[in-house]
Amino acid sequence: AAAKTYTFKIDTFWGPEFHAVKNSILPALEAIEKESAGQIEFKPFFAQSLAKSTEGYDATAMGMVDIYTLTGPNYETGSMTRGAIFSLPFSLPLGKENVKAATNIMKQVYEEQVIEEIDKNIVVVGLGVLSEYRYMTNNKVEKFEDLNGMTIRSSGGYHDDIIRAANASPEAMGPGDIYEALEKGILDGVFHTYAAQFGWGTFEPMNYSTDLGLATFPYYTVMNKQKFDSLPDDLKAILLKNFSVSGVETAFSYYNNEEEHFGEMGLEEVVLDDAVKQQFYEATILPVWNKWIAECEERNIDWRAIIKSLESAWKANNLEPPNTWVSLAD
Amino acid sequence: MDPFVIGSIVISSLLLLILLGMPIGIALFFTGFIGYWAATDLITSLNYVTIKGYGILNSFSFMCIPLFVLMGLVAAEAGFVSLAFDTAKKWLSRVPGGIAQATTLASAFYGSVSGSSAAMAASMGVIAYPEMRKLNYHPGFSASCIGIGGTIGILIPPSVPMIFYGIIMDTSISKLFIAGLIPGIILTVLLLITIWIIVLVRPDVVPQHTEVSYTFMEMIISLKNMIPILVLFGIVVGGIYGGFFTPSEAAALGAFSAFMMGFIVRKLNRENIVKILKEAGLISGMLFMVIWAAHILSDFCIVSGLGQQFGDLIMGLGLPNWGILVAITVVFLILGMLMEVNALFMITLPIFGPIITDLGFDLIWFGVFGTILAEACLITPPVGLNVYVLGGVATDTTIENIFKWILLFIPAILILLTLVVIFPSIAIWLPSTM
Amino acid sequence: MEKFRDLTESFGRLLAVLGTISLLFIMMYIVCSVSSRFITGRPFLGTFELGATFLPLIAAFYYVNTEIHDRHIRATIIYDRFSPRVRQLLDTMYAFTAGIIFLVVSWRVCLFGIRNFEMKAETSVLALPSAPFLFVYSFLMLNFALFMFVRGGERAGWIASADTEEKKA
Ligand code: NA
Ligand code: NA
Repeated sequence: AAAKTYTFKIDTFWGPEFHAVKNSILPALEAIEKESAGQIEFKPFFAQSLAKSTEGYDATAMGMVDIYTLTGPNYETGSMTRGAIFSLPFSLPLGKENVKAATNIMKQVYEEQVIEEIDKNIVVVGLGVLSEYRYMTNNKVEKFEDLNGMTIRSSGGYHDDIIRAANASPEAMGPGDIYEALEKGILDGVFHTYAAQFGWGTFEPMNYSTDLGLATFPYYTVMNKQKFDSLPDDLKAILLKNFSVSGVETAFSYYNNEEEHFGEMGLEEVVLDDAVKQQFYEATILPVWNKWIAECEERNIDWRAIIKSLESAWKANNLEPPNTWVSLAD
Repeated sequence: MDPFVIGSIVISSLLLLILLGMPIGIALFFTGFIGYWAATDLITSLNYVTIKGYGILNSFSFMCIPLFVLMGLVAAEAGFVSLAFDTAKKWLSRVPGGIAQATTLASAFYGSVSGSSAAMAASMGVIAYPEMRKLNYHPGFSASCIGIGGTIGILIPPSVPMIFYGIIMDTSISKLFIAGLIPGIILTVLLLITIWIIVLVRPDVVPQHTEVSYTFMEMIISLKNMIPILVLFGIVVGGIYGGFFTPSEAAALGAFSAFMMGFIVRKLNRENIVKILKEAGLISGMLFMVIWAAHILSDFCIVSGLGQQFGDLIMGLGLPNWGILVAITVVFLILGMLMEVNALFMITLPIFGPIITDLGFDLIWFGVFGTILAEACLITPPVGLNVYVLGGVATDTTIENIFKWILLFIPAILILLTLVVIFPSIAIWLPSTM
Repeated sequence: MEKFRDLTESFGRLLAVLGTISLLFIMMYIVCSVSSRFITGRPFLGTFELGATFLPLIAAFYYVNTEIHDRHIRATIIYDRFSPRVRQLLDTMYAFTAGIIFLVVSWRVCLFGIRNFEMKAETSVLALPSAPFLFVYSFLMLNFALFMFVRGGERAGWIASADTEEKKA
């Protein structure tokens, strides 16, 4: 007899031509369809066409969308306070060489500490990180003081606080305004990934990139729980395995895209010496983490336990966590 | 159910309800919701309303609509517009339909500050429509000149649909913007020619030659009447290009400046401020209801899988490259009858983008091609947002009448489309110099 | 019943005033943000978010008043040829359909408001609580729905019509 088939609507923030969609999402969908011998089928939607990224979490919980890939800070406010730790500066190791470690750390902390706040109608079927968020600016940022008074395009959430900690002003501008704003000096720079700036073509007016990875954004693939539970166990396993791979591949796609195109962007890379980097870290990490801690306390969340969990996850991956935030929990 | 079947049922019920005089917002919501229900299920469609009932309008990009309307109303009420039209009348008294052409030309310039077609059409509507009527221009013809002028705004940078295209197709937004400039100028010329032809064929739609003739001196002196509107426009354009604010912020600055200028020349008092604010509210209520509901119908089109269905259909025909391009054009125009522009891009680009790339077309070029088609979508019935906008602003004519007149401009759009296909460099030469 | 109808109309006008106040508030916020950026180099935070959050409310504030003035757009090419009796019937149907639609929207948005309230959801830049905006929106939808039911009753002839000179104004 013909096996039962399952059809899922999947939507994502990105368009169909975006590198991570081609390199990580679509291959995962194909693999699942193939491994399930056609029992699972996908109806892919792109560019937030079913629900905006700010609505993706709720839309999945309510079953308006079956699967959604969430990025950016928007779903965190309200939906995830514990999980917002992954957007804080230096909560996760950065760099292409650390992609697997960062994903493992995220997974461990997610299982231990974050999962309890996830909506009961949602299953996180995959997670991962994006590439580093950096300052790309019109004028050179060599010292911490150089950011003072600059207006920096931000993705919102805790990234606003990272920018404010450097005495700069965050501005939540849409991609269509960035180019002109940079050219006319309304913006002095952006805090973003190379990949996105390359994609939007907004890099041309920028001159410098400061070699200072401070943070990344977590990336989740969420699925409606009823839909997930409707699957037999073998199909569930296929789905989980492939979206888990996709989580890692998304970060690699970002880093590879950046390696491939960085030259074309014509940015002068400003390399900071360690003392200056340290100054950035110290000035930035504490205020932002403290804000998150305050947010947790407001919601009666045991933030110390989350930090402890994060610390042990770094160590489990043979990495030494930054003392700045480790010491907060002592 | 088959997407084509649901789609056909939805489009015919929509047409029927609109023709039976159901308010358009209600008709769009009703058919869109029922369609969404048919394409999914009752619970999903109710949950859709849960999120999108508020979520659709929860977007900054719509903010420019009421603010540009406000700017237009203040400029009109403070007399800046009448003064400008007075000058135009003196200069163009010998050119039949000259004022219509001047309005379309003004729309093209206005297009360089606004990326939203609806905002421009609404704003130009409150500015120019009453003046054209005062000069005895035909109601439907006047409204259609303004409505079609609004569509130029999405081709001349900045452009909201192009931003959308850039994000969906991972293509440089700045290159798209530059690419639209020459086609935008060509379109403006084609529209001016269309108006000229319409006036030749139907001289009764424009006021007849007046016996009054103006001396050269009178014409020169009248130029000073252009000053207020040019100053206002200068603030907005200068603000954007001088780097004081972004196009997204321009509408607020424009409305604020209009108020300030009105106060300075002492043309605003309690009475007409109340009138302005009241009218701005009525127009906004009308526009947002229709925009909100149009998105619901569009979302039905997206979720139903109509785009995929059309894509499969086209690829199954085994057409040569040019045939596929023609087929894509036809699909855009069919879906464009039903959908607002951003949704049209959302539903078509994920399907046609890869096809276009495989065929070796340039994605910047296709962005211009798609935007030109999107202009047609703004004016084709039953869902023609620019026509609804003008219908709401121009209270002495009907939307049927505006549709009738505005469709005369479709050939101009198709000619531009053909030019861009035959001479792709119209679109890709400027960005290639970047 | 007529008193109730007059009350709903006055209330609709009051809401339109609130809509205008919100619109002018957003306008001024943007103007001040731009000025602040120009003078001190620091824009106000969250201009875009504030505008986006208020926009659905601004729209909803206006709906009743736009209906009072019969400015919701429609095509009347065929409608005009019907007899007054048929038109009355259609108008009654439209009003009730609108009433039901906006009742559904109000109910669903209210549910979403409760969800946001329970989650303590906030906007991402200004950390404005989302729930109050949703509740106000839901209330405005409910109000519009009720207004449309009253309209329906009026058109069906169950409630005396308010065809006064103010409507033509
Ligand atoms: Na434009
Ligand atoms: Na259309």
